[in-house]
Amino acid sequence: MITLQDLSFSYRKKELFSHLDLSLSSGGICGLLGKNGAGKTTLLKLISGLLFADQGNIRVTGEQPSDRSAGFLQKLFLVPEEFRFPSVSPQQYMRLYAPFYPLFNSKQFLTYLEEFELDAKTNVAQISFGQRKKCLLAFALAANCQVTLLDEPTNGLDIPSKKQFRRALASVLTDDRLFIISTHQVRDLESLIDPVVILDEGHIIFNRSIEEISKRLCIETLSTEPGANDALYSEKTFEGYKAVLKNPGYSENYIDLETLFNTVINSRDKVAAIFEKGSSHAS
Amino acid sequence: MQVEQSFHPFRVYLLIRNAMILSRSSIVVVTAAVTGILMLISLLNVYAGYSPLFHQQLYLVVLFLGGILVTTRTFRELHDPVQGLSWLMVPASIPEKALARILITTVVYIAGTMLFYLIFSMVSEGLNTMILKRHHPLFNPFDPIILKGTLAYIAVQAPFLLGAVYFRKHALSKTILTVLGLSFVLGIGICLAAWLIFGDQFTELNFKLLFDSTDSNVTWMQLSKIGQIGIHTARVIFWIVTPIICWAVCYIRLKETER
Repeated sequence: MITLQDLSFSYRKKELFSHLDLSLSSGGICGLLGKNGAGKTTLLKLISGLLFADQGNIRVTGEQPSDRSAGFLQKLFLVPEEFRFPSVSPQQYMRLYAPFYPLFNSKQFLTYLEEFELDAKTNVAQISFGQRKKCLLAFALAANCQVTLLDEPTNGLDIPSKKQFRRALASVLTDDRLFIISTHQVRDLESLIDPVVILDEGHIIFNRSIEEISKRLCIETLSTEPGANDALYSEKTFEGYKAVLKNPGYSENYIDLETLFNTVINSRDKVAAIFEKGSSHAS
Repeated sequence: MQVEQSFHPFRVYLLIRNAMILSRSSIVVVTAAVTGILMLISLLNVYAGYSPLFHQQLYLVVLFLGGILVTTRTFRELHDPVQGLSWLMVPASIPEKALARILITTVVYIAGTMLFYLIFSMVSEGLNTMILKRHHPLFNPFDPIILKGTLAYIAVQAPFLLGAVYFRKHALSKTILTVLGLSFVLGIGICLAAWLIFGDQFTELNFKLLFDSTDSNVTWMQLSKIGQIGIHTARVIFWIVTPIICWAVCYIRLKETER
């Protein structure tokens, strides 16, 4: 559904991506993780055609995003981290913009508004940033676009709203839709994200499904600090040391995304070696 | 609406409708303020004397001044880093978005101001009659002066539309400076060309041709013909070439805009 080949992009003279490759297929909620300034938002903008690559090829649902054709924009919805909602009610917003999206479902939109405890007739100028964000998220989900890009979607949402958003997101995921979520708040969406893509220093350093991850890596709590050769990554906790180890038995187990992210960032080569070996072992 | 073509009139209509609805509060405030000022001008003009072309002239002032101000602000949201992103992501092609803005600043604006001014002239002349027992002739939107003026407005606003999409800040002043600069360069270019072509016709600051056409390679008739061609060319440039080039560059600029 999304293919990036040999992509290079720079801001003026500062190179951000160099020969980047990425392929994502439909039917998943891809978690795009990375440190500040890694290029997550830029990557989303390149996928949505808001920025143009210096070199390389981008295909999204078979189309070139930089063309910004109406057909392409009907299939893709971007929820940016910062946005300005026009001074209208959610219902008026729907009347203004829903006709642009052929698969928009007004019943779905009103249901999400209800779930998010938003009044469809109240002008958004009178509500908080978090409520405006929920309104935009409800619209994005109800637009039923093939590709939905969400940049820090849970920023500004209160705890109940995060749960409501997770529920709504899980309910709209179908085999023909792809969601890409760029976030630092990995715990908010941990249960939904699959695959995990980690971006660092202009490169995709990790792109694996949750199934693969849970088969290759495991977390153990150790009483003493493990040596550099024993664990891929470790951090001190109240119970002792939380250590990420190579999964010897290839039996699936749970790994939280925050620890996975820290592991990949700190032991990039070791993790890559494990997954490469794993791939050959599996084959 | 399952429409995926690169151009569909319905989407252009939606873009125009949305732009009008979203800026309705500004339109109401500005219209109210302008109405007040115009009422006062109309009243003072009737009091000072009688001008049969008063409404025609005042309408053209409103059309040009207001239209140019509206045009220079038409791409304001595109230049805003946050709003520009949303605008670019609206599912409509770049030709549709460009055409919608061109239509808003020309056809929609002209139709809107004509309707507004017609109502205004009726109300203001009613008031003038009540207060001063005198009034101007009512505004006639089909007056040839008005029709020619609206065509001239369309040609004049095209560079301002281009300026609006090109310049992020101070679009009005930058466009005026650019137009003046380009006119100056064009003027110099024409003078240089004339000097190169007809240079041998000038002797000691006298135009030899005018006084001694027998001595000249170019006859007065030929020069008159060249003058006519020049005027005709200038008209074609003003009425046709400039607007088309400005709209085309405006489209290209929109196409290459990144956010």
